[in-house]
Amino acid sequence: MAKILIVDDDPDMVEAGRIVLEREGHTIESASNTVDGFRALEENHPDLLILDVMMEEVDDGLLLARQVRREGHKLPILMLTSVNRAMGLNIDKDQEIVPVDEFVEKPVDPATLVEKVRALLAGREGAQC
Amino acid sequence: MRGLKQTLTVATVGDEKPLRLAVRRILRKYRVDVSEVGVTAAYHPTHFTSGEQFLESVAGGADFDLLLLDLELPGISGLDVLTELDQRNRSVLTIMIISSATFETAVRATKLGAFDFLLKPFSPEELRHAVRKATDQLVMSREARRLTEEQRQVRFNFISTLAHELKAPLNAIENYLRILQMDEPPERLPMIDRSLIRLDGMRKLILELLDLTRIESGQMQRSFALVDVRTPAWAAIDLFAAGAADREIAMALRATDPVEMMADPAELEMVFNNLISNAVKYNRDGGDVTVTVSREGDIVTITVADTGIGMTPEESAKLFTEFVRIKNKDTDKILGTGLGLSTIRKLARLYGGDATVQSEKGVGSLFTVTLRDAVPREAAQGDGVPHGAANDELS
Repeated sequence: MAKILIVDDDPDMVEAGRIVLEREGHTIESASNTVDGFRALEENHPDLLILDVMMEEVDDGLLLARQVRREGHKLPILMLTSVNRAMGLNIDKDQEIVPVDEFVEKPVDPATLVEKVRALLAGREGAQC
Repeated sequence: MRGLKQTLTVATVGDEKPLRLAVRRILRKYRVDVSEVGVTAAYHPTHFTSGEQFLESVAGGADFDLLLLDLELPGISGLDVLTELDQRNRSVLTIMIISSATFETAVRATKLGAFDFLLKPFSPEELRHAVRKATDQLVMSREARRLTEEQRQVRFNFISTLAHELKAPLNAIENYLRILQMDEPPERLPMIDRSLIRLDGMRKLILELLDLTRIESGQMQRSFALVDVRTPAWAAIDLFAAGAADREIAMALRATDPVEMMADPAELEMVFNNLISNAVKYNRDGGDVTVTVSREGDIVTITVADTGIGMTPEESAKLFTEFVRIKNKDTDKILGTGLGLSTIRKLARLYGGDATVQSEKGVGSLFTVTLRDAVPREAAQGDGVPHGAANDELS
């Protein structure tokens, strides 16, 4: 089973993710901001990063994702967004601007979360073989 | 106390040279303090020898704050000028210069929007007095408009901040509910389902609130195109078809020919989605929803009729007010935000139209929305200046 890092400033979002993913047998670590998140990533080498777009700043999550890639980490990134039409923003998978592997719109249905995590981890193992 | 300086442009229209020179000489040096709002007005006079010349300049885009208009002109009269300005929606605060105070002209000029009169021959002091009165009116009404606009902005900012802040807790609650849903004993599942439904209602409320304030604040990004009004009508019917079929409600669109207008497709979608979802929601099982779209001259008319619970005249009268939901035994099981129809009315008015309802308790309701082209058709190609009814409320 995998080690997963969740970076989200909403403790309940972290907790909900933890409950769902621990049931699947994963180990969960968490951080509530980008600085702690990056430190945890360097120290613990998780297999997957689950990242909130908006934390203290509207694009914190995006900046962290870019930093992670810039520093050469190749782990899959799953990004959670609550960005919808009300924001007038439209974020899409653009590897240049948004170097993440998958998007999930908040609130996340537990089954969807489990499914996406499984797929991303499988992809990673496949790549390593 | 001297306040912020504002230079008002004054157009004098008259063919008598001494009059024009006198006006120019007097106004150049004249200052008016509107101390209530801290503004000092100065004047920049321009003159025109005929009504035609003045109107040509206005048509070319010139803007004036004040108009000194001689009733008797060589070509078209001062009254014609006022009528023309009124029709073009380019009214200017006007002081009419008249040589004899006839009751009839005064009434006609006032009806056409003249603010004040000066009787020839007038003294410099009389001119200054009239200009001071007009300036007070102009500056104060602009200030009032600015404050209203500012209030709308504050409301919009407040509501949009609130809406975004509410989304995070709603998401957290929904996450936990969905986790509970996975292994809750079956007898408790209905409670979780209801909680999720109510949560969804709350999210809709937030989005509708954002739509409403966005329309009000004029912050909406609108993009106009030539739309066949039947397209969003079909899309909305399609969207609610499944829900309607469940309750054996038949839906029909009555419009065989294309009904074209210049509009923002997303806004038309909002109108149809709202009216049709209501028509299904408040219908009886096995009822009908009939949608018509038509165009006659300038006006596009959309009607949505249902065979539902209907309303009393008292209920109909308050239906378009924000947050008003008609509460009675027929509606207490139906969820809604009470914002949709007030949004539709605001939207219709942006298009120089309106939204109205005719209803009979226990028989059904007929909603009518009228719209005009948001911009002239040629504007789609980018060579038209947006003006007219659609922009009245925004300016």
